[in-house]
Parts: sequence; C-alpha cells; structure tokens
Amino acid sequence: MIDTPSLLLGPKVQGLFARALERAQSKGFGEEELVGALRSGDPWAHSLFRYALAQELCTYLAGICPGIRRVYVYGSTAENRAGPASDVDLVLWVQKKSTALESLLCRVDALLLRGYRALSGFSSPRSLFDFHIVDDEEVAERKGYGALVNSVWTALLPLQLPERIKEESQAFT
Amino acid sequence: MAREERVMTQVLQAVEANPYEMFKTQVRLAGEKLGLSPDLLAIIETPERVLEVSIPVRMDDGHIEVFKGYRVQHSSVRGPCKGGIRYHPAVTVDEVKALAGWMTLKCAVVDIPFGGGKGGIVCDPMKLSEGELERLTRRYTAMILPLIGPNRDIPAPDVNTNAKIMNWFMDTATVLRGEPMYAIVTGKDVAVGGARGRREATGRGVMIITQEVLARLGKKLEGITVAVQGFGNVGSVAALLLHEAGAKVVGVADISGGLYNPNGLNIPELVEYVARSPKRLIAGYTAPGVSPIPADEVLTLDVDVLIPAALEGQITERNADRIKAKVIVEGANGPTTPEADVILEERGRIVVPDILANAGGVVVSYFEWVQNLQYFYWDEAETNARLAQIMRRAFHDVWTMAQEKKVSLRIAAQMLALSRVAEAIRLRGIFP
Repeated sequence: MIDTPSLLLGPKVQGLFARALERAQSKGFGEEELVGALRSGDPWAHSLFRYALAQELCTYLAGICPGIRRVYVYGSTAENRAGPASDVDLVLWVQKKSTALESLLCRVDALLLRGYRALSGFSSPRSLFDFHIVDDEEVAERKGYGALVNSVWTALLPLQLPERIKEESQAFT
Repeated sequence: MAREERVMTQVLQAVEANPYEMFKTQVRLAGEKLGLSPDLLAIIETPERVLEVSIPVRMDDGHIEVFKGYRVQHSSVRGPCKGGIRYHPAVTVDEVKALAGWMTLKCAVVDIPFGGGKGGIVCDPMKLSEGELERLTRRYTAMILPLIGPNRDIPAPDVNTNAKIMNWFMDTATVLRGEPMYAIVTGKDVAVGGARGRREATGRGVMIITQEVLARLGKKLEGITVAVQGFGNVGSVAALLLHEAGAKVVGVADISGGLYNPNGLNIPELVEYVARSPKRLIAGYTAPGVSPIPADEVLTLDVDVLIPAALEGQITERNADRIKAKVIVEGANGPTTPEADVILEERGRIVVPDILANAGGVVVSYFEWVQNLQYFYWDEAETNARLAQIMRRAFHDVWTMAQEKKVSLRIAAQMLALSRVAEAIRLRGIFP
C-alpha cells in the first residue's frame, strides 16, 4: 500500500529476531528446548535470548549509526537472572545524541516486544529494552547514566561492535 | 523452524507492516517527551469511532457484488474530523485507523480547527466501469451518511479518488438530506463548490516551507539548487513555483526516469511537455544541456535542497549516506525510513517532515469548507495568501519547538501536534 506516512522498518529487523534465536540456540539449546524454557520462565533461557537479542540489535544499530562508540548491557540480563517481567537495560554510548535514533529505538522496541511476547507466551514486560543513551560529554563528566561507563560499582557487559566502529571507539578512548 | 518460531515470525511481520502500530509508537514517544500521562496517551492513541459498512453494488453484468468500506473518526476534540477516502484492494481497518490518527496530528500541526478522520473501500477501481464506480461511491456515501456532515466529519480525495468522486459524494448527500450539502466533502470541482488553487495547494505549501527553512539558515531561494523526485501534482507544482521564485531546479525524476541540467532545467517548458504527453511523464523530453539520468540518482545530486515528492520509503539506509542536500523537504508521505532518519540527522541534514511540509492540501481543504459554509467564494490570490500565512506560522511553531526542546523537526512536529490535541482534551474534560 502506498501513501502512508509511516515509519516502516526494513527487513533487517525481521532478520534480527531470527538471528538472535539462532545465536541463543548455538549456546547449547535445541529449538524446541529454548522455546520451552522461555515459556516456563527459565531465567537462564530468558537471559541468554535477551543477551542475543541485544547483541543483534547492537550490530543492526552500528550498521546505520557510525556515531555509536560502545553498547553495554547490565542488570538482570547481564547477571543471568532475567525473568519474563524483566527488561533489558542497555547503555548506548554515542558521539552525539539524536532524536531520530531515539525514535527508531522506540519503534524497534515495540516491534521486538510483540515478537518476544508471542514467542515466550508472557504478556509482560511493558517494554523489552530500557535504553539509556549517553554522549561523550556525559561519559567524560560522569553525568547521569554516563557515570555507569567505567563504574566500579555497576558491571556493564560490553556488546560486540563491528570492527570499524570498534577501532574508532578505541582511538577515542 | 519450530512452530512457535513460525507463529512469532507471523506476529512480527504483521506488527511490522501494521501502520496503526507505528502510529501508536509515534504518539507514545512524542507523548513521553511532553510528559503526558499514560491515560491521556491512551485516549489519543485510540480512534473515537470506527464504522465498517457493507456496500452492495449492482455490477454492469447484472450480478451484485458486496464491497467492504470503513470510516474512522480518530478525534473530534479540535473540530470536525477531516480526512480522505481511498479506494484500494489493500485497504485494512488498521491502515484507516492509522491514517485517521495522522490526520489528527497533521491538522493540529498547522493549527486548523479539524480533528482527523479517514475512510476507505476495499476495491480495485481500475477494474470498475465508471457506472460501477459511481454506484459504489453513492452507496458508500449513503451508508456512512448517518455519521458524517459539515459539522461532524468531512471527507476528501485520497488514493484513487478524485474531484469527480467527491462531486458524486456531495450530490448523494444533498439528495438524501434534501438540502445543499456542499460543505460535507472537499476536493470537489470549482463549479460545484471546490476551492480555487486546491490542485496546486500541496506543491505551493512545499515551496513556502522550503523558503522558510532556507530563511532560518540565512539563505534565499534565488540561486539555490534543487532536485525534485516525483513530477505529479506535488512535485511539478513545487518545482515550477521554486523556479519562478529564482531557484535553480537542476534535477527532476518520475517513474519514467530522470533529467539533469547543472545550469537549471526549464521547468515551465517541462511542465508543458508533461501536460501534452499521453502518460503525463517526463520521458522523451530533450533540451540543450539536459542529460537523462537514472531516476534514483536525482536523490543523490549535489544540490542545496532535495524534495522527495513521489512515494514512501525512497530515502533508506542504502542511500542516506550519499545524499548531499543540506535540506530535505518531504513533499510525499513517509519518503524517509526511520533508519535513514538516523543517518541524515547524524550527518547534520535538516529534514522537514511530511506532516508539516505537505500539509498545504488539507489547509486549502479547510478553506473550501469555510467557503462552502459561507457561500462566499475567494479568488485564487486570496487562497494563496492565506495558505502562505498558515504554513509560515506552522513552520515557525515547529522550528521554535525543535530549538527549545533540542529535537528534530519531525519529533517537534509530532510533539507540537500532540500538545495541541492534549490541551483540547484537558480543557474540554472527559464526559460525563
């Protein structure tokens, strides 16, 4: 249908969910086993799948947003204690904040949440990802969630970025 | 793939392609930025009324076919609902709900006293004879008539509908109500209450908005270079008006291909050529200094301003990093994907969103309604002057919101629209 002023996501997001499932399965779960464990609320399965989803999301975002320096996951997903009602806490460290990125994340979250609910059979949580976008200044001055980067008290788990961005990011730090 | 995964995939596909889900997400994000309560957002996300109708039509061969139609009234808190009617085989109720919601936001951005509505009939108009199309339109009008009216809900043309269909719509309502009903629909021919300047209104609005954004950057239209994708009602009018105002339109494209002249195309000559060509396309046009280019290259030309005025989803993550224009004015609906938006914003490009840039059409629809209610008709110059006034004010409001809240023009337009709708709900209160 033409002529809709819509925010259409490209086919990549569909791939993102499928790739996350494959990634989680490669950690020792069979297809049926993973779905069964998610449906029973198993924290290990939920953490594993959410971490895989966060990693795929990170790769997807890095492909369109070269200003991303690092992406970290923390909280229940990083600590393998995520339940069906938990959300995935992510810190996105970007060169400069952008409302278009925020808007895209909001849309991606709504989409992935629906998929997650359909797969796990749970109607919670309200949103799947809890994004915290921080810029260079906030990290340097340890303001807001920027203080979490390099924090000795909160364990942030860095997600893998494509090589090009990783090199640029290392040069910056 | 496990059965659950297949189910999940189907769910994701359905949600991803569902425009109503997209509308709700936009409302939620803009609402959160404004600090609106979840209760208020729940009201705004949901349409006030959804009407589904069955439309029996006697076809030319004598058999009766039953079509399905919808009319959705999203919001009437700021005034009667306003929005087009589309005829298309892929019309769904969720699509109509989303489009009605976007009309609420569009009317609020330009601050005209309308809410949002939309309608549609699931049909393929290309397969219908003129008689079948007329009977379909008249029966649909009769079916939704109890809910619409000059002070309730005012339809207009949309995909595959035009002035002729609006004339039938008005005539049917007039006959059934037994009194003149010119103001029940807009987009009619001038001889039966249409507004002078309506055809050019969207393109004119695009030109005015381009002028405004350039002024904010300390530039004038004279001498700036422009590329226009799409050469229909919106693109050709915008190109012509920009050319007349002194801009250099160096590239244009439509589905038949692209044209490029670094010294500027002769747009009045090209418009005449297209009007004479049987398919209304630019293909075959030649002139000294003009070279044909692939249609998609027009998007990446080295110009000051790019006007995508064709279809949705033209600027994507695949070409956004090659777009050289500093300013993009969205003449079409949804020409930029969310991924491309991220890339363009990161590269410092200014994108004037569709909801503002192509609102000229609905503004002149508003003028048509006002003239119909008063039986007092304006000349084209008055329409154009009032259109310019409203578009300039709307641009100023969106630009100010973007500066104050440090957000993109797209988010600013959504926030401004939502704040106006929310304010109307707050002032009116919840009945009972």
